[in-house]
Amino acid sequence: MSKNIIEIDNVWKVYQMEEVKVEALRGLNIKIKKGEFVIIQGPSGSGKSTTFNMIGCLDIPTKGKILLDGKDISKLSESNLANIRGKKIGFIFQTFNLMPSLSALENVYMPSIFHSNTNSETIKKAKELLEKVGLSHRINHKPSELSGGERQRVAIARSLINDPEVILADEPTGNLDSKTGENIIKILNDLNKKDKKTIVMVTHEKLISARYDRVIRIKDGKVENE
Amino acid sequence: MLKQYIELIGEEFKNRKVRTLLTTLGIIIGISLIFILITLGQGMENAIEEQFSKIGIKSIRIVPGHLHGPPTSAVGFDKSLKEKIEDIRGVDYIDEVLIHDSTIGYDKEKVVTSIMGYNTKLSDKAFIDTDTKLESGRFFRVNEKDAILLGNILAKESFSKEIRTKNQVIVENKIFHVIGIFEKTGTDIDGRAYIPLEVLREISNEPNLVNVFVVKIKDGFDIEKVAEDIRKRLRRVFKSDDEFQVFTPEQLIKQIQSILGALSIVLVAIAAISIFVGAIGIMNSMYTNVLERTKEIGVMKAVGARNSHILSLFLLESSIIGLIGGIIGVSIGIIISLLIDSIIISLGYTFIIIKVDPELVIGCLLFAIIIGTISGLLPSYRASKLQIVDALRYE
Ligand SMILES: Nc1ncnc2c1ncn2[C@@H]1O[C@H](COP(=O)(O)OP(=O)(O)O)[C@@H](O)[C@H]1O
Ligand SMILES: [Mg+2]
Repeated sequence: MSKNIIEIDNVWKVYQMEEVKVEALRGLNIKIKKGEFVIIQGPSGSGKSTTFNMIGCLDIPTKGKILLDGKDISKLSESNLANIRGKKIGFIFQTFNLMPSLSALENVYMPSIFHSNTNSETIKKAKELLEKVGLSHRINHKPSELSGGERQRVAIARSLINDPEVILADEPTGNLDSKTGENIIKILNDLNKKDKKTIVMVTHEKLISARYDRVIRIKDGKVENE
Repeated sequence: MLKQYIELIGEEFKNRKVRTLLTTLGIIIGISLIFILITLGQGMENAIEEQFSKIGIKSIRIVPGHLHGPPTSAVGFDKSLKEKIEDIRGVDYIDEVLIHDSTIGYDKEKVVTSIMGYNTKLSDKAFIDTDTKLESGRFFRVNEKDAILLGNILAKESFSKEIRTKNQVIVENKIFHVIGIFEKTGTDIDGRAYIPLEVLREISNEPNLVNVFVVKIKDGFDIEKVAEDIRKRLRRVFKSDDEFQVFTPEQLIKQIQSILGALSIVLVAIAAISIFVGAIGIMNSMYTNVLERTKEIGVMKAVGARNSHILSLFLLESSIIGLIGGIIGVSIGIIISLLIDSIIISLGYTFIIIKVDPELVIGCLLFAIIIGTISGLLPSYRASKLQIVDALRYE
């Protein structure tokens, strides 16, 4: 068996809200192998998005360890974490999170501005990625001129620009109708099967057509069925 | 990298054109005021230098008290004053300047102008010492009577028919032979005429008036010391200090600077206030900007932007706002300075010679960029420190 690319080891995340402490994660343990397609499920408020944030280095745990490729990231500096986010992880959000003032093409190569030198090579790659998600006819459109499904496909293309090993998706179909959602799932399936990307997808929906390897159920900040 | 940064900002700017322009208003006003102020100050110094290169840097001017501005025909001294200062050590010779406003007639036309008297006993010495050159013809001969020298514009442009050397003109019903035409200088000489001093005294009926004495100093003497000696002597002649002013080139510069100084303080204050208001404006606009783009900042950070990237992105933006304000401000400054210049010229004054100084342009632009950058420091810092998760949740 291949080694673990993601290891979450007894992670706690506590939000301090005025007088109340919210324990979003309470000793979470997850191991994900390279090339796996893992689905994280659970009721609303169970801690799925918090888990997504932890794996994606978008936030740091209150307690516990997070290993990416065997390296503990919970103690890395801000700029090192930014490097990891830029190079190792691709993000897909429920609300797409595109830059409204940039065109589809600019949105796709935007991450490279911070990590490699954006050059004609990168722009060519961005065009290819847009083609791959079936949007070659929309490269100069602004997000506001695109449908929800098209926006999510731009976001997928963006997540791939720096060729990350892991793709994280937080309810990627949550804002889409089921037919468009199927389409997005199909693209993710292809990325997993053809491009060997490790995929971690958070969803609370019935599992449509995803050809996943494993479902991890989270409840009250802990894994339920392991 | 920079190019892409500018792309990121540029797209934003397009959406906020009017607001960005309003934001820069303070900078625009402040920079244009500073630009105009410095340009005018330099313009006056240019003019003074120019004038003294004409009357000679080794000259002292004695003008009546209370006169603030160029010499006129209205006030002056008695010519006997000359003998009272001639013997002061270091004085080479003293030229009496008599100015008479009159008309010159040529080919049925008449033009109003200032006619200057020239002491023909000096031959061409005073002209040579002041580096005044002829385009055609010759200077006066000693004791010559009905000869006239014309300024370049007066001869060539003031009349519908150009006046040439050897033509005749009429001043106060007397015929004068044009013996020469001065080179074009860009100063008041261009519009003036010179006739022999004694003739001008008759015509103007001013046998004793001298508007200005120009004292030429011998080589090797300290001009300030000679001026002080002249002052001492004049204090004895006149009862009060108020009746005369003795100027060396340096003092004239100082005098004009002091007039300018009072004006500058006001303008500098206005400029400082508008720049301060402008800086606050930029800061405020940048805070709004950071707030409005919170989610975008979160997105950029999520896909790998470091705090330092966000910081420089927003600093770049505020420095560009400063630069835009600077460019508009300098442009307005140039336009207004040139406007002032042309108004002054059209009024016939030469106490200011406006030149657009490229160093000043660059200096003003740099200053505007610095103001923009400083104003953006706090908002940019706040942007860079935003927590990704919070920023992404921001609606
Ligand atoms: N930034 C935050 N501040 C305070 N509480 C939070 C924050 N983010 C999440 N929570 C809380 O933590 C719990 C888990 O949230 P989340 O991970 O978003 O759940 P899910 O994505 O499974 O719906 C919820 O009770 C939520 O209210
Ligand atoms: Mg969630």
